[in-house]
Formats: sequence, C-alpha cells, structure tokens
Amino acid sequence: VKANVIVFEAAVLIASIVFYQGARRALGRSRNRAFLAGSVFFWLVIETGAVLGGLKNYYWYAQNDYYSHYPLGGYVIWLGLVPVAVVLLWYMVCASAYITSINLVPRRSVAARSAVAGAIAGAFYMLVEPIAVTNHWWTWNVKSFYLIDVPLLGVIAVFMSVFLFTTNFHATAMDMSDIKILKTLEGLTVRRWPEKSEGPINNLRWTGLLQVYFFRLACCLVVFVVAMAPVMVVLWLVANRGQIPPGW
Amino acid sequence: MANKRIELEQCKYFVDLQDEYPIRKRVRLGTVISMLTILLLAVSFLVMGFISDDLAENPSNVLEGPPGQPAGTPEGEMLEEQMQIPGDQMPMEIPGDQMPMEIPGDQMPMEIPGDQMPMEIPEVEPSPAPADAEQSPAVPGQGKAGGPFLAYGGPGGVLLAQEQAEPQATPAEEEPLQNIPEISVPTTDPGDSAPVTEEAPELQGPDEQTEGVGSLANLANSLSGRGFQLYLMVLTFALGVLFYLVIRKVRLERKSK
Repeated sequence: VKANVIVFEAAVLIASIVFYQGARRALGRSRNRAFLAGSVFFWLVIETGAVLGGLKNYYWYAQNDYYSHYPLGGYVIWLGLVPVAVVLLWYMVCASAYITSINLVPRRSVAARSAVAGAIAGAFYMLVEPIAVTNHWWTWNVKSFYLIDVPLLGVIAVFMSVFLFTTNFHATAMDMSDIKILKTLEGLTVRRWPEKSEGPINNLRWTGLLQVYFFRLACCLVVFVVAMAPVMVVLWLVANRGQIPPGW
Repeated sequence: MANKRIELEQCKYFVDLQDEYPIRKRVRLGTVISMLTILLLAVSFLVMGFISDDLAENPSNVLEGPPGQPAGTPEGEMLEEQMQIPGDQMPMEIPGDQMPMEIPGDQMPMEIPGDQMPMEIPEVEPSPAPADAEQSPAVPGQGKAGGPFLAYGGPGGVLLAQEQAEPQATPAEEEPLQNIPEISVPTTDPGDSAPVTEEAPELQGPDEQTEGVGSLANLANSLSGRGFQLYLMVLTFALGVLFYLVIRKVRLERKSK
C-alpha cells in the first residue's frame, strides 16, 4: 500500500462523514451546515485562485501518466480544479481548530481564539504538507522560502485564512455581533436585498444571518488577498526556490 | 390575533434556537466525536508519512517533474506503451520507488536494490559541453532528475544507461520505445552500482533545489534515516495532546454536572 491520492481521498472522505456528525452536535445543526458551506466556498475560491495563478497544481501529475499507475488513477471527485477531498480536509482542520480554541481559551477575545485556531491549523498543515508533496498529491510551484519542502507562503496563508474564517464565523454565527466597519456596506447591500432588514444583526432570522455570513466571508476573501499580496511580493523577490516554468 | 402571531413567532424562534443551541450534553458528545475523528485522521497521516519515508529520502522526489508524454499520444495510453518493454528484456523491480514497472518477458526477474540505482542524481550543473545538451535536449513536460524514469536516466523516460550506451544517438533515436531493447542492466553483485557518469542535461526546472532546512530529504536522511518519522511523531503527539485536552475538559465538565 502506498500513500497515493486514492488512500488520501478515501481517508478524508470517510473521516469527513464521521466528523460532520460530531461537529453537527458540537456546533448545532444549522451552524455546522453554515460552517461546512462557508469553508467549502472559502477554500474553493482560495485553492482555485492558487491553481489558476500557477502557485499550486493538483493535476500536474494527472495530466501525464503518473497517476495511471494507481488503480483508479488520480483524484476521483473534483470541484472544478480542486479535489473535493482537499476542501473537506480543510473543513475538518478548520472546524477542529475552532472547536479546540473555543474549549481551550473560552474567555479570550474572538481575535485571540481565532489566532489559536490558526496556529492549530498551521500545525496540522505542517503534518499534512510534507506527506502531500512527497507523494505528489499536489505540487507547489511558487517562489518562496521552503521549510522541509513546504512553502512559507502556504503556512502563512493557512494561518491567515483560518484566522479570518473563524473570526467571521464566531462573530456572525455564534456571537451575532455587528461589525462597525462593515455596517454601512452591509446596509447598502446584503441588508437591503433580497430582504430589507434593519436593526442589530441578532434580530435577524437564520436565513438573513446566513446572507450576512456569506457577505462577510466574501469580505474576508478580499482581506485575505490584500494581506497575502505583499507577503507574496516579498517572497517573490527574496525567495530561494524558484517557480517551475509552465510546460516543464 | 396579534398575540397569536407573536406566539407563533416566538415558537418559530424557539425551534431555531433548538437547532442552533443544542443541549450541552449533545454538544459534549459532538465535541468528543469531532476530536476523536480528527485525532484518528492525524494518526492516519502519520501512518501515510511512515510509508512515504523512502520517497522523502530521495532529494529530487519533490521537485521531480511528471513523466513526459509524447506529443500526439492520448492520455493514459502512453503509460502502457512506455512502460512495457518487449519480451526479450529483463523484468525489473525497483524497490522504494513510486511506480511499479511491469515488464513482460521471459527473462529471469531481477531485483535491483534501491541503493544501487542512481536515485540521487547530482544537482543540475551547466552541461560540460554543448554537444551533450544537443544530444539530449530538454523536452517540455519532462522531469528533472531522480524519478522512476529518471532513475534510469535523463529526461522524459530516456534511460540513462541507454544514453550512456549510445552517446551519439540522434534525437529521433531517443524515443523510449525504440531504444528500450538496448538497455544494459547491471547483473553483477550488489556492490556494483549502475554507473552514472554523464551529467544530466540542463533542464528548465526549478531555479534551485531546496537546501538545508528547506529540504525534506535532509530531514528524512537525518538521525539515521528516522528524522522524518520522528518529526511526524512529534507533531502528531503535539496535536494529539491538544485534542486530548479538549476531550478531558469536556469529560470534566460532564462529571461536574
């Protein structure tokens, strides 16, 4: 048995089913659904952007003959350019990091808890990534400093993304709190259409809350891009491992 | 009527709340299930890491390009064509490698120990002579060094032994299928490793190899080849402790009620 993509995919799919049952009880049914949908949306956008930008590649080996040595070839289930198993893995990692943080540091601020969640996810990432690149589950193609063949950019990106995602989830779905800097923007967009709603966010019904949650998630994506862009530029300028040219 | 409406609204919110705020006992059970699942997943990654140790020890594995696909060959068909060596060749097994090679033939099977084959080709340096680069030009979509094909030689599945046997080969003769019958595989004792003297041609791969702490192979080859396994064990243990603390806290909360 080799740790090929089929083993990885099967392990993640089975674990995600069990994990979903647990998280449904731990977070609440609707909240867990929101967490799953949000994380799929959030990481799908990030991962697709990374693939389209040439930073990362899930099918580099699948395009050639590498995966045809395996019984079922490469990844079986895809969401566009990203395997479903990868998105589900990050749902599990993010949810477990969040549950851990709210249990271990319950009295800290939202930002502190999200930072703890980001650190836990970063540690899990450092467990998965060396195995992934060794077995060619995916290939990094970004100019960056590398730590045991894991790009520093990826570690920072995981921390940032989990930090932003859990902050948004906790502030919107758990605490149901208004965010001052977004209040005007929300009033002009998601709180006006499709259903006009005024007043504090904790007066909203669940569907209205979900709209605000996804709107804020889109804002988090913008913040993520803005935060990562200078890091990418700096690493691009000073990094020690270069990009693999297209067609190599 | 207004009161009835308010009552219904409250009832609706109550149903929502039941959905959103499950009872604490249920939350505790869910937390334990989640933590145990993610712990098992971490352990499964640990196991996957253990069985990948031989790959991690190969410094060029991570930067290895996928095997090349000749132009005009449909995906998937190339593999069988490229990997199958005509019957008069010796079947080979390369332990510790990623791709099993099934080579039909009536010759005696032979195993070449992993440490005998030139899995580690030195870092790409400028070609010693322009003629060498001309003889084996870099083909797009082909690997740099170290992979299953590249263990045998240069880019794109061209066997290195073959390249050595045919230094004057023209580019047309470098097609894997045509040249495979001329492979010369060493059958001597394990002390003799396959000779690799010809430097790999300059390919358009990553600018530089990862070095020092940047290289996974350095970690994997450290501590008598246990470095990577130790790293995975420490990380899994640390994550396990974190998840256990959550489970412990939930259990203590249950007992205190």
